[in-house]
Amino acid sequence: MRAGTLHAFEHWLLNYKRTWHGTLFSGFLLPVLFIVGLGMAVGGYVNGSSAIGGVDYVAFIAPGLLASTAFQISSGELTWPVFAATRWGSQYKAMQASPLSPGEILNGHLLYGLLRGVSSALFFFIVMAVFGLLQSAWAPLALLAAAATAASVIGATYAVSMSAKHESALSMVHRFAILPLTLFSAVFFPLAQLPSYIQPLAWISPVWHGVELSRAATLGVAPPWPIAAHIGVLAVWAVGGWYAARRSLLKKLKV
Amino acid sequence: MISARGLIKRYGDHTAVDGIDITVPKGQAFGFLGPNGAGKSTTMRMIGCVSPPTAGELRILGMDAATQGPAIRARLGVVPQDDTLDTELNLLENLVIYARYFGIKYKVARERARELLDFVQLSDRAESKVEALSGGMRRRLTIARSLINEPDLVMLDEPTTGLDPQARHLVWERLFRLKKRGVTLVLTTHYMDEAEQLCDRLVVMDGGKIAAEGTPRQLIETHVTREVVELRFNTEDHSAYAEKLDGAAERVEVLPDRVLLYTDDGESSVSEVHGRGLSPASVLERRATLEDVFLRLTGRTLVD
Amino acid sequence: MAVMTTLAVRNKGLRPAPMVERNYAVHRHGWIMIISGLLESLFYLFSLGVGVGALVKQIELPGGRMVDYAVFVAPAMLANAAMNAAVAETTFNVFGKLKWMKLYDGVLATPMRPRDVAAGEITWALIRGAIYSAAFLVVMAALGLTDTWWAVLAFPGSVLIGLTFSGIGMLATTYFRNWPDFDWMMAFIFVMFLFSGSFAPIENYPSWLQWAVYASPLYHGIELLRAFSLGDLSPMLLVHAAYLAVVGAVCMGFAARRLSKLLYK
Ligand SMILES: Nc1ncnc2c1ncn2[C@@H]1O[C@H](COP(=O)(O)OP(=O)(O)O)[C@@H](O)[C@H]1O
Ligand SMILES: [Mg+2]
Repeated sequence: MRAGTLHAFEHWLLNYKRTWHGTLFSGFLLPVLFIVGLGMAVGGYVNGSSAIGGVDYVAFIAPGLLASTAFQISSGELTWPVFAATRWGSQYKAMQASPLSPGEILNGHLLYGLLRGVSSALFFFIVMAVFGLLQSAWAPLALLAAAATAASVIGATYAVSMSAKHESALSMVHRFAILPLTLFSAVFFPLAQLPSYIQPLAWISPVWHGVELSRAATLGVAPPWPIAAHIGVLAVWAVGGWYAARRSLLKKLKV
Repeated sequence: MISARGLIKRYGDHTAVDGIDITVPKGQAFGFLGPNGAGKSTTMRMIGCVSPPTAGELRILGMDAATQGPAIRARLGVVPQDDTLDTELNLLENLVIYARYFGIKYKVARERARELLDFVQLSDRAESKVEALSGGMRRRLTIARSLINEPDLVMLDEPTTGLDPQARHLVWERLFRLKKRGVTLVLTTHYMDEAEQLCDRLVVMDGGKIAAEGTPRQLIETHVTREVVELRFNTEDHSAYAEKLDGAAERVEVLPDRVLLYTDDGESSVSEVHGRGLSPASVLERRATLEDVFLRLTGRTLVD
Repeated sequence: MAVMTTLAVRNKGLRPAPMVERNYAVHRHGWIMIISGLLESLFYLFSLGVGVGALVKQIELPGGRMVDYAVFVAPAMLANAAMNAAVAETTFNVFGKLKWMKLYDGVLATPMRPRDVAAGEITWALIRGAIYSAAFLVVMAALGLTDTWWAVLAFPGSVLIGLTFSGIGMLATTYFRNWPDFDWMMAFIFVMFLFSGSFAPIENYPSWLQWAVYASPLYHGIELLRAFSLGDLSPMLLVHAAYLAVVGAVCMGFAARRLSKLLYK
């Protein structure tokens, strides 16, 4: 990795030092509340049900929340801040004046977004261990799955936020992309519960693939698709997203 | 129209307005002059009934400011220092909705809004957003807004600060027209030319107190001499001349780059200077202005 | 003079209308935002109601009656939507106008008083929430998630929830200093959402938690709407409604007073 990328990354990290306390809830507390709240309420009815593979409901949703939290935090981090960086915040102007190349500015920002998601996932992973929700020796791979989920969406989110014409487009990203992806990617119930004509939509969702990989790791079961196929879809999203992000940034910096 | 007795406003232990008395009769254009932080805006907000006085009596349009705020505000037009325009509405909507706050009927509101946009020459911008306006246009829109309820008393807090000369003259011209229609104006400014042009009566405020009061002419006559002579010498340090010029005029003020002689007879003062064997590099005789009064009363040190 | 007398007469009553009109003028073209807000609550209904419901199938109510899980969760999602609409409007939007746009500083130079502003913003929040709620109820009925005409009463019920949370939101806004404060408010709202009996009868909770839940206005809202949508009426509903009304009224009273203090500097 080049030094410039690290400089850009550092900028965002320093920025985070000022705002971290506002992220405690969404980044760390929220997934824990989900497993406590839903586990207690729904668990009583579905624990051990064959539809979720005979495990407890918390054990079923926790790996899903692990991947979806990484996804939500990383993509959330790359909406308003990216939009603002070339507009009100004008952080990018300051960076451009320094010898950073656009590629370094981009990679530094993406790296920061990725690590925000991964650090939330890491925290939640420890919580899972404490709650006894890691039921297989493969469990540490779930962290990789969460990281891969975050990595698969950062580029695409960046591209959309960078090219957004108006702030309201970002609310739309949250409402029409981030939220439904979280709610319908087999985090809270298996895909099989969705009507069969909707299921193909989930197949292209990077979050679904991340959730299934994560769940396979913590429960020690085989994922619904071959592992390579899940990883393949995530990789396509990641690479495609990165190119789209690069294009959007270059276009923005030119004008 | 306005009568204030012993008006005081404190913020914590800081006294922003420190016991002022003012009387503004109907039809007058009344000005507050003073440096930043003198308490002008605070006074304006108290008169506008959006800031309750800490102590003192304040009556506006014959009503008590403390208890009849809404009824008083119904007859005031206010141009606050920072426009407070509605940035989510276009120009026309800004005026129409503002009229609705006064309870003015929608149809009447639209008619007046159109007329007022015309009055401040913004008709062609009726549909634009406030954000797209220049500072001068915003000010004009705020003035139009303040007239939407056909007020008996218009309060303008620094109506032309930060405007370019064209915009200032346009605003002045509109204010003159209001004055001619018999509207009572109260304004604050730190532009002396503005005060001289627009105000029938002035108070100079400093540190929350009234330092002087009167018509522009009276203020000059009371607080400075009729004329001022500005002398520049070929020297780095003018302070050496303080002693040499002592007594050459009623008052001598030494500034880093020049010496000012306050005198009722400029010519005799100049000959006195020459008579003492001094030869300034430049001599400028001029009439005393409000600016001299202002600086005399509020000092030359920068307050901010 | 005529203007003055009418104003003097009206001085006692509240004047929410001008503020509502102002907000309508701003959002006249922003109906996409309104629809997207409705879709958001429907997403929750489909995921945590219908999707999870397919796992749970049926649950037994405290009285012994068996109902589909989605039927059980749907009124809770409606209550939640009503709460969110009210809170979003009276916190994010009002805070923006108060601290960033300085909108109310301009408004108060007119005969409008802080309580008129507060009443206007709350009325606007209620109107917006009522649109969500009505649409949500229609979807619920269309999906067969309710099959009684009593469910119509869930509409005024959700407006009452809106009223309560508008009051709470307004009051909270007068205490906020900056945006991170909102994160903590959202945390609070979310905790209520998870633990107010949305997903299971609170009789399943440990008893100390049940007592905490009784304090949650959302719990009372959910109980109210659930009773209507299940057609399961009882005198307890009056208690739930009274609790919501009292909390709402008290918060509004304090909010109006605090708003005065903030604006009349
Ligand atoms: N809301 C406020 N809170 C605390 N201090 C204030 C407030 N408004 C004004 N002041 C203080 O009161 C003094 C007078 O301010 P102001 O009336 O704005 O002066 P001017 O308009 O003459 O420049 C200043 O020292 C200012 O800092
Ligand atoms: Mg001022």
